[in-house]
Amino acid sequence: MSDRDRNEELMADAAAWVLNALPDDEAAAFEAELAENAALREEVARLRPVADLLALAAPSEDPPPGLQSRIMAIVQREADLLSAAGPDADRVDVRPPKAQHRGRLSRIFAKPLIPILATGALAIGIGIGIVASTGGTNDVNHPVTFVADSQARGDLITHDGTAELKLTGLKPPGAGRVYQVWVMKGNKVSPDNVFTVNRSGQGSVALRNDVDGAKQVLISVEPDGGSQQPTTTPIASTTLS
Amino acid sequence: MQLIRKGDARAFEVVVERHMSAAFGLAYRMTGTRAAAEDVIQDALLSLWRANTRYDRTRGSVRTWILGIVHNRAIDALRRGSVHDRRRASDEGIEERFEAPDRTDVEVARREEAVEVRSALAELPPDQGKVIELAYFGGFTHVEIADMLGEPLGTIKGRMRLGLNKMRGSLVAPEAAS
Repeated sequence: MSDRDRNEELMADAAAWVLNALPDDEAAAFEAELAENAALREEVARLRPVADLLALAAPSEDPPPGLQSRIMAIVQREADLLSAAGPDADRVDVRPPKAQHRGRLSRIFAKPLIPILATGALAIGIGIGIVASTGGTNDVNHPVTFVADSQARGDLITHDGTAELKLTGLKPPGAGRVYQVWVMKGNKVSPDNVFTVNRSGQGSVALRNDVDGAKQVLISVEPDGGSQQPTTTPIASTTLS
Repeated sequence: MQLIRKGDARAFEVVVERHMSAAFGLAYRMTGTRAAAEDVIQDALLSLWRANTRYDRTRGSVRTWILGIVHNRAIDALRRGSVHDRRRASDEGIEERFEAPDRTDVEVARREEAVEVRSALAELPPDQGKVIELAYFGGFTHVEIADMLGEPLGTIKGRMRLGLNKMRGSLVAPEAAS
């Protein structure tokens, strides 16, 4: 294939890509090319706004009664959960006052959850997740260890007390379920954000808790809305210290 | 949107109220059943709430951004096979159905915007409009569309590109289109 033909094919792929019409494997290859090809990025920048506008062509329609309240009930539960973790736990970019944070957590997270997490942590293998590599200036990557999902991979990227989980190859948690993050400091465990994954099994979530001084970060499957205490054995963990 | 990222449920509810009808309309248009559309909307809006996806101003208005998330989630549902009654977008057209009543001037402006997009789509040569509708609203890949229409893959992608370029000429401001 000549360079000209190859270029034409890539430009046609750009149209299919902005319409979400490339199969997953072709989309992945296209995205790799996109990262290296400025002309292709320009073509995508030209066509994507048009594809985005197509959504407006669908007629608006009144949603079924109750849908909004069902969604808002989950949202409110999650908001309450985060609020219960302390007012400063709602902000990713602000480190909470530690004394106040610990005091609240010790009241909120009772002892019964510790055995569940301890069992899960043992099953996963505490101590496997150690610092693997460094990324940005102050970023540290901590590999995530999964119990049973051999396809799943992930890292917890920490930066000055803040942290973000990036995961790939993870199966969806199932209908009405979410993944929830837990931060363990000493024997205390704090509930953190919930998340799901896309059809490629990719997901990322910024943690709301400060991870400075944390021993472990764990992930469990919980009902929509998240839980105050883990209700299932963790499926993954990473060790910070 | 900053309030939502900080966990403000009330701010999120305002956004949901403002865009729910458009979001549900898109999900229903793509999945073909109200039950499947409900699942898609719940999945998309909770994803937005959980900040898995962050608002990117360069992608346009909050509305098109939210609809983009709904579109992606509907595609996920279609390709997972969880929506068994896959729509054949080309058979349905884009006519109005059970449309929500007008509520505000803003809604009227949005209707006008929607009419413009529909017109631009309707003005395309039928073979170009069809592949774009099958891809965007039907959630089909170009491989599936080629198989469905009995055309080569390159022809299908070429029609998509031509069609989007023509729509761009109709919808994008002249200075931006040049």
